[in-house]
Amino acid sequence: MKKLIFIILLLSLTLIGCEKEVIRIGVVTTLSGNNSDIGVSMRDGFLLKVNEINDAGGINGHKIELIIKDDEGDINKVKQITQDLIDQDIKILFGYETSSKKNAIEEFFGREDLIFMSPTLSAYELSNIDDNFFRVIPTNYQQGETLGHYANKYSKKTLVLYSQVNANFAKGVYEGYADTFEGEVVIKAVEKGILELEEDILLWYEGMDSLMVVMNPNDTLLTSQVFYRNNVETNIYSSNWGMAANAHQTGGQSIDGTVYTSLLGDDSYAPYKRFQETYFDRFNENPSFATIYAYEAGIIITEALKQADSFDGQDLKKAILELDVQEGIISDLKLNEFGDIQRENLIVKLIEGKLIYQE
Amino acid sequence: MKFKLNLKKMMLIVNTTMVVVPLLIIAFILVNYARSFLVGLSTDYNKQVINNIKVNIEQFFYEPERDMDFIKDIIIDGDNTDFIEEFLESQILIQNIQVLDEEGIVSATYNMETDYIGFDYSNQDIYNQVKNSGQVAWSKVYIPLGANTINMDYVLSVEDQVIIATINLERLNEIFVETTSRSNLIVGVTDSSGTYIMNTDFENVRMRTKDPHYSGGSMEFDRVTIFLDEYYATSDYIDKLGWYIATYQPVEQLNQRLNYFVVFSSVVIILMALITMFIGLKLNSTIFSNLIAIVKKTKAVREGNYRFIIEESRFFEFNEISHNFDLMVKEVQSRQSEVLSQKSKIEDMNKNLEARIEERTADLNTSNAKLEKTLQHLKETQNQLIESEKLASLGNLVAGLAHEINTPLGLCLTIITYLQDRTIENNKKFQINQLKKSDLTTYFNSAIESEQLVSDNLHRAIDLISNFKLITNEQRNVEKKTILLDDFLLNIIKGLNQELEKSNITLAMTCEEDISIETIPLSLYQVVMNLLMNAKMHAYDDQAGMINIDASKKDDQAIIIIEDYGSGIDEENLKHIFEPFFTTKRGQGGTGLGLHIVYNTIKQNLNGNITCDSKINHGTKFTITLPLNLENAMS
Repeated sequence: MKKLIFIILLLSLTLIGCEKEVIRIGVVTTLSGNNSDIGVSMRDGFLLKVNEINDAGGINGHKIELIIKDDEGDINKVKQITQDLIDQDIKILFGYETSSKKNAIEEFFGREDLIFMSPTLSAYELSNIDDNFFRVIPTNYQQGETLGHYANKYSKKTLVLYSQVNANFAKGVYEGYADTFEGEVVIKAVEKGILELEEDILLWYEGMDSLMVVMNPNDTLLTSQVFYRNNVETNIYSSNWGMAANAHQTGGQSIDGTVYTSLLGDDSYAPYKRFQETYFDRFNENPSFATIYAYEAGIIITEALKQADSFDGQDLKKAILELDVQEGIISDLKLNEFGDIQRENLIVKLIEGKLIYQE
Repeated sequence: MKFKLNLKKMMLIVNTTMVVVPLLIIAFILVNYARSFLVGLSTDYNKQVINNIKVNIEQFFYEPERDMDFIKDIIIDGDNTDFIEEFLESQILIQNIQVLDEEGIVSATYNMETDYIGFDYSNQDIYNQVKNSGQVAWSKVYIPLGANTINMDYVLSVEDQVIIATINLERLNEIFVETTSRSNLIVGVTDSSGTYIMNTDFENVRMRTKDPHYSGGSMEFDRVTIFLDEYYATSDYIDKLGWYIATYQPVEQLNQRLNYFVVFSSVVIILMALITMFIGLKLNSTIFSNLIAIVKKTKAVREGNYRFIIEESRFFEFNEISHNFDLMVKEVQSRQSEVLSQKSKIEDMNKNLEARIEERTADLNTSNAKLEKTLQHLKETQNQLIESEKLASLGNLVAGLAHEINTPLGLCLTIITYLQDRTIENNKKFQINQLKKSDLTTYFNSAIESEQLVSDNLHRAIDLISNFKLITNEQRNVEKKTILLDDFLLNIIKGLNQELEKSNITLAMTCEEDISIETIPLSLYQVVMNLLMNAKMHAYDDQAGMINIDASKKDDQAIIIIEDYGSGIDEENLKHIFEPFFTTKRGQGGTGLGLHIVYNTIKQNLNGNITCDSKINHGTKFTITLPLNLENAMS
């Protein structure tokens, strides 16, 4: 009898022992409020990937747990939440969707025990630095460059309006634009609501033939409404931010003809098409760029976790950098030695509610 | 060796087993079915919760639809702004109204900033859907800019215009919270993209979380895992809105209920077991105290103590046993005293019996002595008889011899008498000279013939006497002597031939030559004679027959077989033929001692053996075995 009890206990212990350690990943992003579209989409994309991995048995048996935190768009909270997660011994941090959050977390990038992965933080200042920050989005500066090249064909004078809320991102974009655009550039920060600034905007625009906006989708829409309402014809160039969460679809005629740098893929690229169809089948809506980038970032993290010697920061960093080329949704995924991705931006134009790729 | 069982231990084991095993089976069934029962119960309850939410949602949307149907024409007229504003102020659900012209551009707004005039809805699916179908539609749920509320648009077309009424779902959420607050469940309502628009945890709504199990417009699942936690899920679909309602009940919660149930059941079962076992043990103990009392009584009776107190038991059966035992003991007691009395009688009888036995033994001893005397007398008589028989046989021999000798001597006398007569007659004639030559010739011839006859007969007589002498000499001399067996037997045959010839009995003998045997010839003679005479008398009853004598040597023994082919001896008589005085011819001259003498002579004098084989009507065969050297054999 004693033997039987001993065997049962031993078996129980063995079974308990079979439960492998859970990999905890902190997700910090804006999930509520005015600028939550990217955060929500990003979270959904990452969640999709993590759920797929967990459903397939996890990373070599280790399940992934996401600790999702809403920073409510408050930069101070971003830092606080990040610190709290680090204090909870969480080594992998995901999110930080906009360049505005760079300053809040930059101080942690040097820590060798941590890994930061942002799908969409494009601040070019973080390029070419050997740190623990990784991303799958091209830099904001590259976006500006792409738009500048395109604008050279159609415009001579551009009024640049950027959101002061995300000045970090905007700076990279307009600097890239200004450095590339051969015509005149006037740069204005938007610090109030668009409707309050309507007259100022029209004033600033006098003598210009084109408008470059680096603002959130709603402000981009409202700005286009200002020009539409006042019957001022213009070429509008927007960073990808302006088309986040598919907001351009609600703009109607006012926003028709707007040119974006697209972080979305080419419909002819099979993985992209497949992902879009699968996503639509499941959620009855199209995936936003943030969803796609978050999913791609998920591919990098989970593959690296599979191949890393341990889940420590340094082993994981090594695994991320040594990872073979992975099939992404928009293109193949391969990070360079600084943890940045090399991929081209596309130019799309909104024509009758649809985004048409431009050569 | 049989395994000895202890009834008390056995009863204890059986009692415990009968209590514990059924309870274990009940516990097993309870635990196994409790889960599915609880899951079923929870699922039913969860479905009820979903149904309540569904009813509430449908009721919720009825009100704006009804109100908008009432006011739509007034809105299209566009002249009654104040009335519409008042209407909206009285509304809890409808927040604001937009009117779109035939191109989908916002042409008028109520209860919202006029900045929205000019917004273009022409590319939006819902606008086109309502515009083209002329029917009403509900938009997807959305969170308006800068607000933490959830809105939906109720879109309806009136003539060529479209009215969009924005509905705040906050009230719906309040109703939802009221409905679900007591359910202890995670309940969520998602829009057609799977994004929560209502949830018991409002954070999921605020952060626009998608239901992790929403897939392709379907939520069909029973048990799901969200990150690391498992849930039992139930879901339903609101067709009109494209919404889903899902409930998630943590498996852990159910497990806690199950654990509570199991613990409660276990306590009840253990208590039941303890009570039942207590009652069982108590009962056992009572039964055993009664049993032990009975055992003590039996022990007391076994030890001869019949005085014990009869205790009254609570059990009828034990009282019955006690009562019966008491009767039994009394019966035993009575029988014992009877036995004791009988025993003393028996002892007395035994004493008498011993005296009688002694008396009888004395009688028997006396009888024995008498018998011994009689036996002695009988033996003596037997010996006398044997001696008589021996003498008789000797007499016979002498008579035979006399008869044999008498015959030649008589003849001689007759011849001599005749010759005397002839001599006297011739002498007279000679004297008177009348003797003629022929007379003399005749006389001489007669004389010669007579002399010859006399000579022959005298020779015969001499032979006879020689033989007799031989026998008598040896009879006198009982000491052993070495003889040639064939000569010896031949002499006996010669002596008997005439006797046997009278009865036409042929005697044949075959004997190996030169069998030299050291024996007592007289004894052997008596034996052979007896057997031959026996054959003549009994086998052939003095009628014609044949007797064979066969003598041979084997190893250091001589074997003499005397066999006749006469009437034979039956099996029963054969057993007794060597016994003294056994005869079938009693009263006809038989003494019954002949074969007894033969047997004794061979056994005692000749140290040999004799056996007899016989079959009725086939004859009898006596086989005599004698040692070749009597002296060696006796030593």
